[in-house]
Amino acid sequence: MTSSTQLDGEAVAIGPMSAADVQLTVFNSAAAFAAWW
Amino acid sequence: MAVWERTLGAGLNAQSCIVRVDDAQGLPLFAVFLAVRRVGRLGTRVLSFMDAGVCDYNAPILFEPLRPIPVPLRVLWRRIQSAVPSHDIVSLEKMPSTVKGAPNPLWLLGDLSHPSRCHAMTLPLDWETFEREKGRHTIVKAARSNLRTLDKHGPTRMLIAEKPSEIDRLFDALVAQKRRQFKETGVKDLFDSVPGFEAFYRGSAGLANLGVTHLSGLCVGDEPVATIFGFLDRDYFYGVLTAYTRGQWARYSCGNLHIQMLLRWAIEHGLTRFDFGIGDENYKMFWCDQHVELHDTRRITSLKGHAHATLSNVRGKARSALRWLGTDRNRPTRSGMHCTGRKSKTAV
Repeated sequence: MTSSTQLDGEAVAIGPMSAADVQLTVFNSAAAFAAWW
Repeated sequence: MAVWERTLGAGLNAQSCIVRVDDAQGLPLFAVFLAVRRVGRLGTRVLSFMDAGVCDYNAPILFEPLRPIPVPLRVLWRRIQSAVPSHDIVSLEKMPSTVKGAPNPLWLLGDLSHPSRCHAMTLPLDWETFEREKGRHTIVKAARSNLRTLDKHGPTRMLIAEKPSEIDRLFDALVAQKRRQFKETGVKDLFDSVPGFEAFYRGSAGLANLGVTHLSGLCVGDEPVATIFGFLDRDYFYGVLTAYTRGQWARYSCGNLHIQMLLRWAIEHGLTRFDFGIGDENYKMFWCDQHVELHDTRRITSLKGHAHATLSNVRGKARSALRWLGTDRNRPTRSGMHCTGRKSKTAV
């Protein structure tokens, strides 16, 4: 399964692919990452 | 990161893509700072670490508790590549095998050795131990003697920049000293040639009063004769830019004296590691007991990437040929003759 989410309109998450897998979130700016941090 | 985006990132027209990798429970494993920028006339998109060459180490931030990555690296990297903006070339440089002792999850991507290593010194617990271990060496004795002589020219001390006016003054001195070094050694002046280079370091130096960065100067009277800029990470000091002035001060090895004063400051402030950064200069071999291998990787992911690599290769060879024609051909041989061909060149 692939899903995507938005974070402050800046980030996209891809995954997870399976229960024992990993999930990726891409932040398109330092500010978006700092907001998560 | 914000300083990088405002300065170097903007100058390079780079798109940041910071990738956080979580486990299946949503707990973060690591985050890696990448960027895609366009280069060359073809506008080739290069995926690289978000540093544009200014970092000595490129590695992800690891989140505690440290856990193994539950998927093979090649699978994970393929997913990271799919998640970031499209690119033609992947160029990852200066990857260490560990991050503060923990395995670097991206290390195995590096299939090429970086041409130079990083070097660091494990700091002793106190200054007396340092004196016992290093005090008898010529380099340390010479620094003591030079300090006494410099003191006769004016009170000599290390100034650590904290106020904005001190940061500005020492940073200006550092830039002037570094530019002179670039000019003297025939190295391209990065302050001129890399958009945002000076602004990045000036902006970073501005964080000195927050304890993120550290800028110091060896001052004789009011004049900074040597400067060092670095980053602080808990008990680690990472030296990034070092510079010194010449002229009447050249004979006193001000850079060497400054390093020793900064080492003393680091030891007295409980730091455990002083990182001299990348580059295999002789003086680092004297101080350092840790030598860090770095790995790179370069992969082409599209036809445009292939075209870019081919053009770069041809351009590189043409430049070497021109350099040979312009310099080596006119170089006198031992017998006083000028080189005219490859055989003669090898005889020089």
